[in-house]
Parts: sequence; C-alpha cells; structure tokens
Amino acid sequence: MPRWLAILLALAVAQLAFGKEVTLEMPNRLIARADYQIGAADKPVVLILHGFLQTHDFHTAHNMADGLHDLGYNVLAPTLTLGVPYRNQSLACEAIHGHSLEDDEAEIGVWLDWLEARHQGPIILLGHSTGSVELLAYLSQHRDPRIKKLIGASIIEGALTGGEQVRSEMIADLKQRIGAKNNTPVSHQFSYCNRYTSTPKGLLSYLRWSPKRIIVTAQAIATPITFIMGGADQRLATDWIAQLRKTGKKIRVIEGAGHFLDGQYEFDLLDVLGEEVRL
Amino acid sequence: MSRTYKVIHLSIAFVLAVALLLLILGIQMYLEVHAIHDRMEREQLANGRREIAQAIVDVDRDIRARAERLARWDEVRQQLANPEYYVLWRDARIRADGLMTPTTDSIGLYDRNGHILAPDTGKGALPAQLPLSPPGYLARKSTSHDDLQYFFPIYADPDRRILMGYGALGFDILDELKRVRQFDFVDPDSFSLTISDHATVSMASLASPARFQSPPMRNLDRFMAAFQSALIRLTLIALFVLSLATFLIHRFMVRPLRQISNDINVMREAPGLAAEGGKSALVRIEELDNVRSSLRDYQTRVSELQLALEDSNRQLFEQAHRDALSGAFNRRAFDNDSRNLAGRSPLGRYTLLMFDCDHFKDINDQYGHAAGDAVIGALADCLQRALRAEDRLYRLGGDEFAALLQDTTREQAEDIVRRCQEQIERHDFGQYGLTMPVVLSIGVAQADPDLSFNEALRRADAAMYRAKQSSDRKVVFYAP
Repeated sequence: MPRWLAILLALAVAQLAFGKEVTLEMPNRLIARADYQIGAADKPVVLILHGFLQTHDFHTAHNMADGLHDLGYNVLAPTLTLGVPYRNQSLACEAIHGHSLEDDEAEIGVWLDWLEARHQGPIILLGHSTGSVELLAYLSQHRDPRIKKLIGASIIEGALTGGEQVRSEMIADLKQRIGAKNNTPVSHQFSYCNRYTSTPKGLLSYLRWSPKRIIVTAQAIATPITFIMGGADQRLATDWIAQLRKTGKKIRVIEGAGHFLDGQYEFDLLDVLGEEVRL
Repeated sequence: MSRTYKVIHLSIAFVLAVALLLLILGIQMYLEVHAIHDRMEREQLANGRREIAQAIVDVDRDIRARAERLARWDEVRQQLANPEYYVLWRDARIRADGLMTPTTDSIGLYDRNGHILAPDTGKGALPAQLPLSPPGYLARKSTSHDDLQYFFPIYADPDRRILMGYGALGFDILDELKRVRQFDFVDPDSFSLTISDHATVSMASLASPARFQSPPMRNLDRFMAAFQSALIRLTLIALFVLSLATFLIHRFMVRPLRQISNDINVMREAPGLAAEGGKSALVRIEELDNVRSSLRDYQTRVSELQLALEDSNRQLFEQAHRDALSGAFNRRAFDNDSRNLAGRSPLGRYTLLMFDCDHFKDINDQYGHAAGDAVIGALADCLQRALRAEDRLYRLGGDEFAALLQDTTREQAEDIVRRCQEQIERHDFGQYGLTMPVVLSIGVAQADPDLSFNEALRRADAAMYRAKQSSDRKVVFYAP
C-alpha cells in the first residue's frame, strides 16, 4: 500500500474516531451545531441532549457521547440553538431568553430527521437533566417507531425554590401576560438560575413541565424509558426518585453520584449506559 | 629681551589664573551636568513617545481582543439574530458581563446593512449608520473627551463566512491609555492627542502627533539643585581660599619682597645706609630673612670695598697729582685744574700766585741737591701753612710754585702773600747747611670773570719775573 494512501486512511479513521462537527439549519433559520461520531453500522444511533442552557460540550454530555462511541455506538450530540446561531457557549441565566421548549422540541425533530436520513437502525434518545425532560416532551408529541428507547439521566423539572404553589402562580401570571400580549421579558428564579430572564411564552413552556407532568407523561409513553439517577443528587427533591418509580419505568440509581454523574461515578454511568443502550 | 614684572602683578596674575581656572572648571562642570540633564530630558521625551506608542499598541490589542470576545459571545449573535429585546440586553447584559470597562463609553450592534439595532444616546453615542467599513477606528472629539469608536464585523460561524452584523466599542482613548499602562515617562494628565471629529484613524498614526509632558524628574532635579548648591558653596570657598591666599601671598611674599626691593633701592641710592626692613614683621620668612641678611652682608662688603676703592683711588690720585718732593700738587694737577677752570663760564673771581726761589740754582750748586731738595720741601711747607685750607699749592717744576686762590679779593691776596713771606722768613734754612738767605719772588695776578686763565697765568708769570728782577720788591701784583 502506498504510504500516502495509508496516511489518508489513518487521517480518515482518526476523524471518525474523534467525531466531527456538523451544522444544520433549524426551523428558526439558525444554524445549530452537533458532534457526530460514527460508530458500527449495526449498532443503534444515540442522540444525546445536554442539560438546561448547556451545550453538547458540557462534560456530562461529552463523557456520555465519548463513552458510547467507544462502545461502538453512533452518537449525535446536538447543541440546541436557544436562539443563538452556531451556539457554542452555555447561555447565561441572565441572558434574554426568547427560546421555548417547543423550539427545542422542533430542533430535536430536525436532528432526528437528519439522523434518520443517515441511519436505518434504531435510535436511542439520551438526555441529561432538563435535556431528558425535553426528549420526554418530544417523545410525547411525536410517535417515531424508530426511537426505541429514552434514557433520562438525572431527569429533573425546572425546579422552583418556592415549590409547586409558586409554579402555579407563575404559570397563571405568565398566561395573563401572554393573553395581554405583553412580551416583556420577566425574571424569576428557575432551575439552577437565581434570575432567569425570559419571555413569558418561553418561561411558561419550561414551567409547564412540573414533576407531576413528567411522571404522567412518562407513564403515558409506550416507548421504553430508563431513568438513571444519582443517589446523591442534591438538586433532586427528596422523594423524586420514589415518584419516578411510580411511573413503572426502569430506574437505575448510581449510589453516591451527584446530578452530573461525574468524577469517580463517570465509569458507573458508562457501565449502566452500556447496559441500557444494548437493545 | 624679556620684560620685567613686579611680584605683586605676578602674584595677582597667579591668583587670577587660579580663579579663572576654577571658574572654567566650575562652568565646565555646570555645563556638563546641564548637558546630562538635557540629555536625560531628551531621553525621557523619547521614552515617553515610545511609551505612548506602546500604550497605543496595547490599547489597540486590548480593544481588538475585547471586540473579538464580543463578536464570539453567543448572546451578541443571539441579539443580531433576534434584536427584539436588544435595548434591554444592551443596557442590562453588557454591563453585567464585564465588557463595559470604566473607560468604555458605548457598546453597540449593527445589522448586516449597517443600521444600529437601537439608537445610542449619551456620552460617546454611536452613529445610527455604520460610518466606515469595519474593522476600523472612528474619532469622535468633543470638548470634554476624545473618543475612539472601533467597528468590527460579527460572523455567525467560527469560520467567519456568514456575516451577521457589526459591533462597535466606543471608549475614551486617553482614559484607555491610562488604564492599560502605568506611565513612567509621561505625565498622564498632560497627555493629549490630535484627532479630528468623525475622522477615520489608524492607531499607529495616533502616537506621532501626541502631545505630552514628561513627569518631573525629581531625583535629577534634586541632584541638580544639590549640585548647584554645592557649586555655589565651592565657589564661595574657592573665593575665600583665593582671597586668603592673596592676603597671605601679599603679606608674606609680596610685601617682604617689595621691602627687599626697597632696601636694594635704598642701598643703590645710598650705599652707606644699611637695609633694616622686615625686622618688625610678626611672622618672618626664613628664606626671605636669609636673602635680607645676605643683602646686608653684601651691602656691607660692597661699602667696605667701595671705601677701599675710593681710598685707593685717592692714593692713586694723590700719587698722580702730588709732587713727591714737596708734597704740593704737581704740574699735572695744575694743568688739570687750569683746564677745568678754563672750561668754566664765567670763570669767577680768582687770584693766581706764582712763586720762584731766587738763586736756587746757586743753592743746588753750592750746597748740593739734597740741600736743594730740603729747601724745596721747606718752601712748600711754608707756603702750605700760609695758604688757606681751600687754596691749592702746585710745584710747577724746579723751584717754581703756583697757588690758585678762589674768590679772593686783593686784600685777602695781599694778606696771604704776606703770610707766605713771613713763613719763609721765619723758617730756619740753616738747618740744611745754608748760610745764604732764601728769598722767594712772588707774582700775583688777579683775574676778572672775563679774563681767560691763560692770560691770568701769563700775568702772574710776568709779575713774578718782575719781582724776581727786583731786589727789594719781591712781591709784585700785576698791573698792566
């Protein structure tokens, strides 16, 4: 074999091994980025969605993508635009957020279409944190037979420090604003943000996904679902894992792991993931 | 032939030369230090220009880095993609994100067509329309500050292929320069740039027309002040030392030398006077005392030599002008005196006496030359005793004598002649073995001032012959 051909092949293999960035125009006409790693042809493709306001470069999503790719899986890890073309940074809580969960669902759909155009095999959805909620929301609205499984890691609603009573009040307020066509951004504590600034419509879209709705939706989805939870996740409500168990879905708890399932628990996560993506 | 100078002049010249040398040295040092001061000021200015140029480069680099950071900020692209809440974002987020430094007057975004997303107001407001083709700087000058506005493109993609719009950073250039750099050679408060309002500028071109003042070089100024103070003190000390040296030189060198010089002059003008200068001085210089002592000894020896020489001269004169036999002046003295007298004009009143011994040849022949010589000597003694102290007696030859009486009247002459005859008569010539009397014939000529000496001599000689021819009239006063 000529040396130059060997070098070219080595470069191609390296490219495949390390993945490549792909870009795709989203329904909001913005270009979104994704990390696309091609694995074995006979293996499912896994779509990994990052957490709230993060990117696919966030370490939990990144580690899961690399781990699965190492196991031979095809992995697509997109970054939601959240209204930013070529977004490559975590969006600050204080930024003016005009995106909504519906926008995120639409982008997930575009990425799934893109995947289906390239892969004939099954698709597994893997989300982290709020990303799991968004995939759950997508799955509740789109019946796609090629999606064989949803894995929700550290699934959590957009938590409010005031509890569900506050959620109801906020939802009512936001609905009133939307009804009055008042699109002035509002700032509230939401999820891990002390001050999340968003349009009423955008905030409402995320607020609607209360713990109860997550449970109900998960119960209603026929597609297999596995929740992988950190046993020491401080962000979770104390009874959240117990409530999840009520869904009847498979619950895998990594004892000692936190919300990001990282550190020494990163290997436990990959072990569990390896088991769960095996169809 | 070399000139002669006075020691006071030489000492003054020496002191002035030293003073001039010190003055030249002082001026040279002063000029050198001032040259160093000027050179350091020039170097400070050059360093200041380099510092400003470097600060401008730093500002340019910093502004471009901030622009790049802004352009790569997702939220900027978010606003360009959907500027609905741009004003809220601009006013709330830019400041919160730390891009708005204290020196930044404005930050704004323009769409792809160069329209600002929202009008900018306030200090250093950005123009509504993109004023130049980015990237580039626009100068905005006002009475209170000089702003630069940097416009730069913003791309959607990392490869910079999809232009989304433009960003703008407005900042006070002077404040920014102060912010990025601690100036060592420039007084930041004196710094100003020459920029025109709404002119497109390049950062590189800002440095050259910059006006500034260097901060005061306190250490150098302190050194200069200390140096000048030291120079003044040194000058005063030098002047004092020179004055003291002048006084000491004058007191202990010039004055004694002048005293010695005066002593020498005194000795020259009055050789007999001893030089006594310097004895009363409080402080005496050994060498000068030695000189003075040597001079005194020399003076004494010279005086002694002079006296001895005068004595010798006198003896020689006497030997040359005295007749050895009679002790009277000889013919040479008579001729000298007669010449001197003849040379006078007018001659004055005088009387000339001519003496001749009668029958002297007979005395010589009869009693011998020894007796004759004794007679001659006795005659001279007798005549000398008869004459006055100031009168001069000459032996003209043989037994012939002459006497010159100055300022003598006839009565005085007659009296003198009478004393001469008495002395002769009184003298005992017998002691020489003579038995014959010794008679002296005397001719007298009294001369008026108009009469020549030769005529007076002829008259006296004529009168003496007439007396010699007479047996009883042995004194004849010439009468024409």
